[in-house]
Amino acid sequence: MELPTRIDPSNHTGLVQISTTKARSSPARSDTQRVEIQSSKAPAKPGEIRLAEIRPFAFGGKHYVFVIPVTGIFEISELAAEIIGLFLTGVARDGEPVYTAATVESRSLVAHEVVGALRPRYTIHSIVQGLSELHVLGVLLTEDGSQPVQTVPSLPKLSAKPFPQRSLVLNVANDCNLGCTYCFASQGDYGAPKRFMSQETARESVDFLLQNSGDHPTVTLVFFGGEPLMNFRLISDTVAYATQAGERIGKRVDFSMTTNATYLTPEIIHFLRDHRVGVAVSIDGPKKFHDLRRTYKNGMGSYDMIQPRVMNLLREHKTRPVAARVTLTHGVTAVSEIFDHLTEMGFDEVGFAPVTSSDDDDYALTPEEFWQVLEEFEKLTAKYVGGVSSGERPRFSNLTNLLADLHQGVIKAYPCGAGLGLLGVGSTGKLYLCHRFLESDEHQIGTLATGVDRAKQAEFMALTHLSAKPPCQVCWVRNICSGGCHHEGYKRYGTLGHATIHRCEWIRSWINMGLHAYVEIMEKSPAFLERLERGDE
Amino acid sequence: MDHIKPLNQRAKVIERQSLKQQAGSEEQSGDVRAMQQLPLGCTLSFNPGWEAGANGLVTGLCHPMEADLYGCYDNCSWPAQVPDQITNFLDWNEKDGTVGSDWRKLDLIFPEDKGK
Repeated sequence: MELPTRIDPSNHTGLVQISTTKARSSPARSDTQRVEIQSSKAPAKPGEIRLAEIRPFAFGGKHYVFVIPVTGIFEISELAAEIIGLFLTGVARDGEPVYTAATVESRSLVAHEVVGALRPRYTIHSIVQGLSELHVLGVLLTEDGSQPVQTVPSLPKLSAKPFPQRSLVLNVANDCNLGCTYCFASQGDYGAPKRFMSQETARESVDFLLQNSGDHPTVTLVFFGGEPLMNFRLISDTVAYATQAGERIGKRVDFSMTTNATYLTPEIIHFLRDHRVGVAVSIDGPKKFHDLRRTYKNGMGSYDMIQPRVMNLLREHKTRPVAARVTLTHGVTAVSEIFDHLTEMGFDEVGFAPVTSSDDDDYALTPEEFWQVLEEFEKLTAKYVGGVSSGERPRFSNLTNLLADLHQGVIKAYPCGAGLGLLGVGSTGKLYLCHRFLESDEHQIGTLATGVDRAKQAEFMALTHLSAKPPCQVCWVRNICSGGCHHEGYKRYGTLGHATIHRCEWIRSWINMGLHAYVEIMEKSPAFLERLERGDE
Repeated sequence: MDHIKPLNQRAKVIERQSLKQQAGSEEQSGDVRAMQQLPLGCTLSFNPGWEAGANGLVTGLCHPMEADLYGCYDNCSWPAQVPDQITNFLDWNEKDGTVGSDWRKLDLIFPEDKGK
């Protein structure tokens, strides 16, 4: 090894490179192949310090670090950022660290080297203090590789205990009056015979939910379809039944419903208001976008039909926020325009979801459109942050959800509650992983009468656990994304437990955007995040 | 903490936890605490491989020449070997309350003291 003649403190790369952490393996390789998590390197020598799995970033002139395994967000000093900078090996020309396989490339150093590089500009005392603080909070690791602070187990272990139910999604009508071309439920019936749920099945569902809800003081019943309002009589009966049944055992039952709004009569709207039913309306924006794919089965657009009904709903129903649910499809990517239209109508929240599709579907978003959507999200995010600091109630619900996750610092072993606390109930009383898998025999997980098939549930849990998704192991957003929607992965790869790897870059960019928004809001209006913490937003 | 500030709830939990751990085990000054948490290149249990400078040579030594300049200031706690406290000189430092202030009370050890 060549001796360094001198250490130039102004040039980090002039440091003696003691041992280099090899570039991590690519996450995009076949999922049957194990991705090696630990970089191959020479055994650690005493005094070696290396970076934990972190993502350092700068925003608005300040420095931050996102600690990946624990979803911790820290602001760091200029000095701390410089210390971290010494460890980074892949630094692009613009000064941003290079993220290979979604995490950051780094090397290990000993403290002397760090002190030597920074000493002329900082006192030894402050450098050592910086090193020490970064180590104490788990940003730097020492040779034994242990995190000094263990507050969270890496991932929750599989439990043999039954999961308490929190939510049931009832397929009250396996039929729909519309024929939206992109519908994941195949125009409302999931490819199964059209039928309505019986009163008996709905009441059994309520009993099942309450009996299996463990200690939860509140449970949620979601009316879904098809178009749930095709079976409004059942909904009104079930609401009354569930409210009474809940009261008898001291639990509150919350109701919500997703509807296409075509059946919203004044009577129904009053009912929804009086019983505090949360309503999400499937609407894709102004007429020109909405009518592209949200059509009747004869091809006629549904916008003109729903517009007055939605306005009536928004005027009358103030007991719960009313949300718009927008599906983004080929040609429907003008997110800002759609958002403005819907908020002007009066929706309390607007959420966007890129359509689940295969590439050959004519409604599928093209890759370019996907990135356009993200650019549009960026515009809404900027507006959101500005609005929050002037006290506005934000309505871009995708970001609100992401900010809540970031603020809490979630570590998700599963992307959602499907198959666990949330189940779908088919129109004949069979239990499914979630509403998206309704009426699919392959994804049945029991019946109301016999309960959850625990063996099947355990199999599902093992298959879909974050640790079973190789590409995720090296990803910096893994604890927030957890591999993506089960259904999205299933539709794309034909199997459960496959990470939605075709969306990785997109998801990472989106979460990165959220992270920037988070630190900006923390800087300008931390009170908003406190309200988010309490669930006021 | 001057250099790192927790922002989200998880980060605050981590900070609380680590402060608790520190409070439980230490009452020393910040400098000494830093010493204990981070291996800073100087160690009391000598590692021959490391001393020989497997990597980095002089800068990686236990006592590199740079130590003359600042080594004993705050990144090196004990520049000399200490008596064998495990078997031969169990009580050599019993008169010493705190090394920082009472170091003069430390016994001198001579080879003929052995077994005394």
